[in-house]
Amino acid sequence: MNKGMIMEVKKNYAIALNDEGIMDKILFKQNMEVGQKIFYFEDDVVKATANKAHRYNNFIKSFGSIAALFLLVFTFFNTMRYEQAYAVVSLDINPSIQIEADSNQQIIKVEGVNIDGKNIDFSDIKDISLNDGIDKIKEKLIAKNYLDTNREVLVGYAFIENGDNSAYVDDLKDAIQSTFKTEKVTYVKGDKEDVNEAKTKGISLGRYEASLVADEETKSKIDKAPVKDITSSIKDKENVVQWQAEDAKIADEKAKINDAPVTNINPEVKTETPLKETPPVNVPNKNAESDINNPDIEKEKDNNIKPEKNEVLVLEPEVPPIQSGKDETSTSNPSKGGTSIIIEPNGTIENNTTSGKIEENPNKTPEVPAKTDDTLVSKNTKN
Amino acid sequence: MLECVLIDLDVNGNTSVNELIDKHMPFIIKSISDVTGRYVSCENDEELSVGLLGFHEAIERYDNEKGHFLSFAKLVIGSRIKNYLKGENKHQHSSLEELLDKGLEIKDEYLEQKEDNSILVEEINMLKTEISSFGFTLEDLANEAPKQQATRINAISLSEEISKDEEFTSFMYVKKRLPIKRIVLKFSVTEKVIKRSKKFIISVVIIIDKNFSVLKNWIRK
Repeated sequence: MNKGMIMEVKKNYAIALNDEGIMDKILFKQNMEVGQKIFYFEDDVVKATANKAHRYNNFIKSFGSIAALFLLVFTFFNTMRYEQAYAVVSLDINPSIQIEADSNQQIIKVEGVNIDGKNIDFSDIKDISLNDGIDKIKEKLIAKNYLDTNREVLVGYAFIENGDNSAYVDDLKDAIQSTFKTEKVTYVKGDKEDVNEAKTKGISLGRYEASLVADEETKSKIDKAPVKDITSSIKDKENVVQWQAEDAKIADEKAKINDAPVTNINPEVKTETPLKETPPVNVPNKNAESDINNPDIEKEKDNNIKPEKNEVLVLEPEVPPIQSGKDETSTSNPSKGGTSIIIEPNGTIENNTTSGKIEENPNKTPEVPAKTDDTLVSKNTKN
Repeated sequence: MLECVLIDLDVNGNTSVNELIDKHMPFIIKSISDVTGRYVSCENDEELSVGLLGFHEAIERYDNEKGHFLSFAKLVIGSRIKNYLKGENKHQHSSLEELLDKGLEIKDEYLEQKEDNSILVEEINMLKTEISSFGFTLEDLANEAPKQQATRINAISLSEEISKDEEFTSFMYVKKRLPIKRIVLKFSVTEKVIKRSKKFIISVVIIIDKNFSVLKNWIRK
């Protein structure tokens, strides 16, 4: 027991000077006054060191919990972002491969969709750009000899978020085009729902999109049908853009250059195809449709043009997936066709100079002409 | 009975009641403090005397069948204190005459104490301002004052020596620190001793030099 004089009263403790000249911190109790002389016990003494340690502990604790919180929050957001694919691209050669990429065109995930695809290990293709990733995928495919027998590539792509993705599409097509130079590439566009649908059906996005437009026979065996069959069955459908292998183009190149002026392209009018390559694809359709809508004179022209068009496999312009393609094109095209016909010279010149189409136009094959012709003819007759 | 208590506590049979009380003073105070939830004040003996009476009563009424004496005593003291506190409250609400009587009595004591305290409080506040001008607080002093009695006594005697020397004190007040080198030379103590308890030495020098008599008496006690 000590006899002490209270020197200072604070919120949680008081300082007492005991009769031996020691200052002690003692617990606060009621009715304490400075100058009061009291009896106190060892129990009442607040240990200074313990107090300090406590405070230190508290600081560490709060700091630690804040740090942990930050860690949690950031890892959470990171994983969220990680899982959020911006674009989904599927490649069907024989192995079906699905690529998920983020908005910076960095590959998040590459996986095989069918059995052949799953047999290939894509785990090292990650966090690199789409371009490099597709290159690597091709290397793997070549290593496994898949590209020896299959010369056709079916590309399906879709964006998880709506908005203007035209630049992205350009880059994507560039990447694929530059990689699969010697293969025939067919593009189909899908949307978010299609990705999920394809996933539930266990087929690649490309095949799923193809199944939507393909004929019944192909549709029934869409998950197993060779890519070649699929592409051939859907090539004249809307929403499909097809590309020829490069070696085939070279032969046509000379003819193309001459033809180029004749093909009227209005890039500004184009709705969904920002690609340099796409315009030629669309041209035939426009011309065809414009022909339909326009007098016979125009038709003659069209006939002349047709041979050139033949190189282009795809008949219809890309249309946003949600809209019903045919109606759209038929309604919108007439005007385009009309304009193109009227301004023919200007339009062509512009295209040649600005977009350097001359090089691109050549990309056409002799292989397809017949078919395109047929389709065109059929359309014409229909209309 | 006292005999029973002595047997239970296992102490010398010749111990008188006063010796017993003296010996158990801390116990009594602790018992009071536990009941009231406050520190027992040295000046306000009301509670303390009630507690002492309780303790005495416990000795009188104790026999060995009632368990340990100390727990029994604590019980008795506790109930006496409670009764006293209740009674005090009742008094405050009792008749005007009684209140005046009591009030006057209490007031006198209160005034006495207040005067006593005011000097003390003044001294404490002056000490606080002084040491804060030296850059530390009572809290620092509480944390750093020498815990060992021998060290403390040394420091206090050293402080007394220093406070006698005008040269040192003036230096201290001007420079706000101790002239450690010169102190070491003059009083032949080690630098370590001074440095370790310099805050304590400074405050003691201030207390002596400024003649804070109440505090001074308290320390010397």
